[in-house]
Amino acid sequence: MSSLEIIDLKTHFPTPDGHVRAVDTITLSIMENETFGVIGETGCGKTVLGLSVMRLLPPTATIAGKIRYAGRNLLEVSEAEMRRVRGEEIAMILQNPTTSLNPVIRVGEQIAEAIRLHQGLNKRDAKKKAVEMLDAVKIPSPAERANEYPHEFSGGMKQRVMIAMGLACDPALIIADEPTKGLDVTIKAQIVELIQKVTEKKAMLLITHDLGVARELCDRIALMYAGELVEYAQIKEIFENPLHPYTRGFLGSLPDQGLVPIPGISPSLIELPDGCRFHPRCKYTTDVCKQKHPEMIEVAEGHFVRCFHA
Amino acid sequence: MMQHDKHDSWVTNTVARVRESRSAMLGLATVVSLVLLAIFAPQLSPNDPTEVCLGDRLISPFKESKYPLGTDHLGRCVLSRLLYGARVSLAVGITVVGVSTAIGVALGVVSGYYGGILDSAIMRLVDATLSFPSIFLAVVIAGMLGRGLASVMIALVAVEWTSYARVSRGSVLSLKEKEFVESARSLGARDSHIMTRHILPNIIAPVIVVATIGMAYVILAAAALSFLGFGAQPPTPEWGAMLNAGRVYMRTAPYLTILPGFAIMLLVLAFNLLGDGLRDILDPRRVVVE
Amino acid sequence: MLEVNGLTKHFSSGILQKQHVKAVDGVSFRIKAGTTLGLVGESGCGKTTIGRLIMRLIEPTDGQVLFDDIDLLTLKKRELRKIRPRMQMIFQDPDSSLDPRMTIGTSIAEPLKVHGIVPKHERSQKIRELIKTVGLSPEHVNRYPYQLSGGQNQRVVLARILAMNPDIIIADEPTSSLDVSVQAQILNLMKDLQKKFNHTYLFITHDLDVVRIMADRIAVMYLGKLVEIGETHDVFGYAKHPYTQALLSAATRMKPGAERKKQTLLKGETPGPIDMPSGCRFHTRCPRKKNRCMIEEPELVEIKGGHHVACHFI
Repeated sequence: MSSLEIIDLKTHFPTPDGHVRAVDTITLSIMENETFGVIGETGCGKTVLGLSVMRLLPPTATIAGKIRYAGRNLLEVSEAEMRRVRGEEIAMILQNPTTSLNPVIRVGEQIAEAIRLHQGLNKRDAKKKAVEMLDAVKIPSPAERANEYPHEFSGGMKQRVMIAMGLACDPALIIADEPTKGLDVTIKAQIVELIQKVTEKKAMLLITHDLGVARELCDRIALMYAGELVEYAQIKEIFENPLHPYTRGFLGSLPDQGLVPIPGISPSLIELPDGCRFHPRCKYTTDVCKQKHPEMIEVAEGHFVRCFHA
Repeated sequence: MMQHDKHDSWVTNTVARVRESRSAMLGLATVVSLVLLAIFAPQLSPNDPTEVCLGDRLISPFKESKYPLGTDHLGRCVLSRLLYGARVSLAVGITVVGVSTAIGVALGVVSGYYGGILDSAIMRLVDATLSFPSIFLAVVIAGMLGRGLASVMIALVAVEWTSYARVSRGSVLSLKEKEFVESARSLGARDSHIMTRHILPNIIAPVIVVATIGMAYVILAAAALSFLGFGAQPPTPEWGAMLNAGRVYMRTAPYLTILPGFAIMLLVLAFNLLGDGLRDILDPRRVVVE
Repeated sequence: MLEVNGLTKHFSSGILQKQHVKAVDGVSFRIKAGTTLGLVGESGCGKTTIGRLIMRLIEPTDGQVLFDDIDLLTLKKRELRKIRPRMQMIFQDPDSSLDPRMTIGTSIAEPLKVHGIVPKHERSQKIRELIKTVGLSPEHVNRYPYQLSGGQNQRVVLARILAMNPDIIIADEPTSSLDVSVQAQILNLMKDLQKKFNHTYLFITHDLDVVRIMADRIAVMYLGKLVEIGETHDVFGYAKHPYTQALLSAATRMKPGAERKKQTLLKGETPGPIDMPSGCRFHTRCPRKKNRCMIEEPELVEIKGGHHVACHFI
């Protein structure tokens, strides 16, 4: 059973400099209990993908396509209904916990607020639940820490609080956008382990540039380049048998994989190259790559690639 | 940040964005027209603004073609006086803002860059100045220096420089932490080089905004001081002074107060619009996608 | 070539009760000419402060920085300005390392002007040369930093540094704000330049995978102190300090097809530098902690040629 289904999603932003095609036709589905990773580099549109599902985009954005979740198209439901969906059915864990928490409200109250909003608990019960949540994310002496302010928490602890807040209403789907960005390795490993534990029975869309984190958490991953997915498969398959030149280049440029860079830079989302969007940086480019835009094809069971030469 | 292929500098960028902002455009257009009117006042004025003609006293506007906007209690042409008055207001505004910017920015940059005792001393001076209502302070200084436009300008500079000092100090403090300033230091550049080549160009934007809004304030304050009798002395055509002189004839000749009042409002409003527009335009934290 | 002896920096904070933060506490190391020392540690360990202390962008509390036997810390301002071109620094964020109001060309020309290195009429020729060396094209000269990508800007920073022909380059997380595919470009460029110009690098980073390929020797830092230093091969292959071991195991490995190993995760977080633990600073998180560790601070001890470890139980 699929939990979330994204069909032909296009999210564009009109700007004075041109049309930013941040998400330009993405189709993917996430099964129940599955963690699906979207891997991409700066400016490939991966953050916009997550925000599109939550419908948290600035009003200038234009969205087309379908986002099917629990039997309805999230792009068509009312704003009031969407507010209920956010947090209760789908939760988002953002990067940068420092700016995502309100500095003048006690941590416990911030979590309790999320709970009261959705579950209609009274103040005391919500507070109790908040402490339970802090305990669930392994924050030591949760009852005392609930009364502290965000600045009294370290970066790793703040990210735990963000996770507690996201999980407070027991959503079935979690969207995590770079949940470990900026954390030290030893702390990162702790947070990855925590996320692994708390999302065991949930579906998750993990958006990251960090293959190490993806490898720990995901069942399947997709590589995103210039607004579209270029390859997706089971995690093991991607590592053992990468087929798209971008995937290979990405893996090869990792420091412990030979440090072979991909030449050139990612295209601007305003002026995408004709044909295959990766062709200006690809060493296998032929004439067809410059003229035609490749479609996703299934090369092995569950292994999809957008390349003429795969 | 989006990538631009055009080789555009921030100046051309800014110009392009001023064009898109309606309020900034309206403010700019009004300011430019008023400046042009002031420059060409001698050509445009139908009469000598200071020529007294007691036979033509208190003629209402649109009555006689010789005096399109009428005459005041001494029979002087109101239109001519308004045009020449624009010169006075703009000259006062530009001088005061110019001098205040030079003093304020210099002190602010030095204060922010070196910090320490120097910084504390300059900032305490700013605090002390700001602890008085500015117009009150200006009245006191103008009172001590005697009447006349010069003392009004000195009084206004004494108050105005503080905002430039504060704005530039604030910008310098954040710039000082930037790696490119550290990189200039590790390159072996002198402090003077860093301040003039790296810091100054980067604080221009906020200073321009403050200066534009400061123009509005200075023009209004100068008019107010003249209204109170400290500034321009008769027969100099100054809007504030005109307003004051016309006050006596409020019932019989309301245009004598309305017209200069309207002129002041127009110029102040134009600068405010321009300043607000520029603030939005020059704000580096403009919305950028991803 | 570059020798750091007992480098110490204490910051004091608080108005009523002065609290001394020992950001860097008696750090010593040596870097041979033409080699790279990787300085590894997590945020707040003081590694960035060390870079800035050596450059004297901030003034040390105590210690010695010998550069060709000249003690940098005793130099007067003017003498320091003269020697500075020989030591340069690359910062983490390329976009703020360049003056946003200067074109790329002007930025690269600045060191040439400040030090009068190249006569005026040869300057543009020199700039073109430098731009080519770092893999940019001449059309970039008239652009502004915001018109280039992070990776391109980091190349500009390198060109600017090369203009001064430095002996030592201190690189403070030079690629941690870049994407992996671009990071590889910059790291390769840095290695090539080192070979070509015989630069000495102090490479400061939190990224073990990066430092492993960049550095000849590695120093591991925890709360202001070095806990282990040695040849890259020794530190990675035969890490002796429990903190180094924990770092290595936490850095998730990504060898395609390799079995996922269950890692031994380090418990807890780095204590704040204000409530510095007594004895060994790592004892609050150390799996091998004994009573002695809480009282006695371990010294760096040589266990094998050039491999030093600060731990009571090795």
